[in-house]
Amino acid sequence: MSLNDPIAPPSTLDALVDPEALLAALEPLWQLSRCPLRVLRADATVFIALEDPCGPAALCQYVDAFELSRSSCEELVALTRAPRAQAAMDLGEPVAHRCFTGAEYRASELFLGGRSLGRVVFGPFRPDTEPAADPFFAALDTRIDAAFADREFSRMPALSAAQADSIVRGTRATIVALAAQSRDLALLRAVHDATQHGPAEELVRKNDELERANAHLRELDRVKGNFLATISHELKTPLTSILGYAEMLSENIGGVLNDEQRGFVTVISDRARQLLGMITSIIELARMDQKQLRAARTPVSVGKLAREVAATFVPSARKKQIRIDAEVDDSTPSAYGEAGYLRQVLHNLVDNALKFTPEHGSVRIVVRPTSAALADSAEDSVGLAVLAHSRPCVELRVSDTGVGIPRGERDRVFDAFYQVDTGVARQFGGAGLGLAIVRRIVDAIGGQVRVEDNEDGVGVAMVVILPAAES
Amino acid sequence: MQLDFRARELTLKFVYCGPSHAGKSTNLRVLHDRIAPLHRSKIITLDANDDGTLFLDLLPLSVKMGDVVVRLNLYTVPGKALLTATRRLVLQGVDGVVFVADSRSSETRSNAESFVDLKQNLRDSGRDIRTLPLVIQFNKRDAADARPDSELDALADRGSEPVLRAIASRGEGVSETFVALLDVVLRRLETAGELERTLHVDSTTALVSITDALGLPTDLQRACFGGGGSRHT
Ligand SMILES: Nc1nc2c(ncn2[C@@H]2O[C@H](COP(=O)(O)OP(=O)(O)OP(=O)(O)O)[C@@H](O)[C@H]2O)c(=O)[nH]1
Ligand SMILES: [Mg+2]
Repeated sequence: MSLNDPIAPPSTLDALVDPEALLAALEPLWQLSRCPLRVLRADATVFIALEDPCGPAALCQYVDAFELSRSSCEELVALTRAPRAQAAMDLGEPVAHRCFTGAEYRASELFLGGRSLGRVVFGPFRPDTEPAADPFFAALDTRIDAAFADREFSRMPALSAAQADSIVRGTRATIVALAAQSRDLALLRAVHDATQHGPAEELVRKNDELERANAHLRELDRVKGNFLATISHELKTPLTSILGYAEMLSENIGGVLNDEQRGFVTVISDRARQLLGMITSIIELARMDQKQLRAARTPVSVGKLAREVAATFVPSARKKQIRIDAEVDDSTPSAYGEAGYLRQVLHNLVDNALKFTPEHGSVRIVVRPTSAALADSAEDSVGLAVLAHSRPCVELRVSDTGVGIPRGERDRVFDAFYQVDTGVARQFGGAGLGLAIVRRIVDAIGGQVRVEDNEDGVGVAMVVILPAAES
Repeated sequence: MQLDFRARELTLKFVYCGPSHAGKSTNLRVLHDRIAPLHRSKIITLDANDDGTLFLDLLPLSVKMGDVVVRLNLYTVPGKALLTATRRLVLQGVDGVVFVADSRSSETRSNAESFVDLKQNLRDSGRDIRTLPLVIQFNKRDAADARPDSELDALADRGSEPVLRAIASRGEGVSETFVALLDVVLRRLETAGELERTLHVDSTTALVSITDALGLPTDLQRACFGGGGSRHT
């Protein structure tokens, strides 16, 4: 595997900084002292210079008049302009250079991303601690008039070391900021070019279209939910009448029935009640969809609920000669949920198990502690695989000795209106909406539900994992 | 998605996100080495040091379908928590995300933090992760303290997006992850009616012709956790 060369960002002052803009930006800073301020390229040539239009200070002109002092001055200027290694420059901290006249320079390297762009040279200026020129200057040449040198030296603008340093720092910061900005732009442009992006408006338009399509789908979902709720209510009203009249018939209110008639009426009542149950479920499901089922969560003892729910099913289980028992591990912590909804989960699971268990079978409810990876919030189904973390949980397991569910179908049993497509299922009536409701509730609580093999052999177990309440 | 009718080009932007050192750049390098030069340019790396990506990596791919050029630009973002502004920048206009998670149990928390950061970055730019095509890759399955398959299988079953396993440093699972995302993105475009309009094909045809041209497999089952692979939405 080979790493390709990184794109080399532009790294020269000319490529990165517009000299006119820089002059404009530095002008106010320069006005503070009006001492020469130069920005040099990495090769020490001048990029921009801010100088007094009246030319160099009189002292400098005087220095230029004598051969020895002129060459010493040139040497010094070359030194101030020489590139510096990064380490020696302490990342661009100003470095002082002292002229033989007593005037001073400050130089500062311009680093960007570890590379030198060039440097700032400021000076000469008179240090405010020096009232007169260094006598060394007058000693260079017998023709030099020391009194004249002193007078011109004292006329140069005086600055404290701190002032000079801050002018240089300000200059450096300005240049580096401008350069960094345009380097980043250049990098972005490079990426842009590399990917040959088209016009931006097209992108925005596409996004808008997709958003609209999404909003439309959401609206359809909502309408569907409303529709289900409305139609179900409409179905419920006549059905209640049917049930009522069937009841009156069986109670001989409309006259005494013979056995055959009574049998027919019982079938009518049973089927009507079954239908009513389904309609109630549809309404429940639609309502859950709409409210996103933000169940109020409090600690709930699932074990206690399990015993209660098991007890309510004992009569109907006995009718089919099915054994039903609840087994609760006393060390199970409370679950974090809502008692009413959790009761419904248990009710639906047991109801479902009984429905699919043939005579002489058994239904077992087990409540025990476990640990599982659950997400913090119910909305975290996106990215759940990375958001979930292991925590104490309550396992609720309802197993039956029924016909079982093929492995490939186990995910789908929680879909609304799903039916395991076997003769047996048809014979016992469909799974209907019970399991879909279970999943809605469990999802809302932040738990999980799945189908497993029955640990005891035939049949399946519906396993619900609920987050334990913090103790 | 970007469509340039004049140039007859369709451009999709995929971004590899995930915590630092999870293997995002490695994924890109493997794809680079696997795809014929005709269909890819070199990897462009902006700012990187020995400790990982500082700005981004970019691998541009292109495939011709009929008379339309399909461009797939694959980006990585830096995983370092501090560089969130960079990630937000790179994520702009994204069409699909591969979240590269680190399988080591010690990294479980940084995976989650990185994912939360991703969600936040998307939200800040007016996007919603729930409507964005996403696949999750658990990389470094070879690590000594990698979380067990059974745990990830169970999580994958419950999550709403495909979850794949990978050992990117050995090239395993990398193509599958990319193809899984491509699949989700194409299906999404199909639902929005875009695929018919631009490429005049259904998502399956598009997936097969793009992966064929790139020389990548379409059978992902082996690399998927849980029941994944076939049940993307
Ligand atoms: N053991 C193992 N190491 C891997 C695997 N994939 C990648 N690595 C190594 O993990 C390290 C980090 O990989 P990168 O691809 O640079 O990670 P990244 O996600 O781009 O990291 P950032 O750029 O910092 O966000 C490298 O040393 C890789 O060789 C894997 O599957 N198994
Ligand atoms: Mg990287």
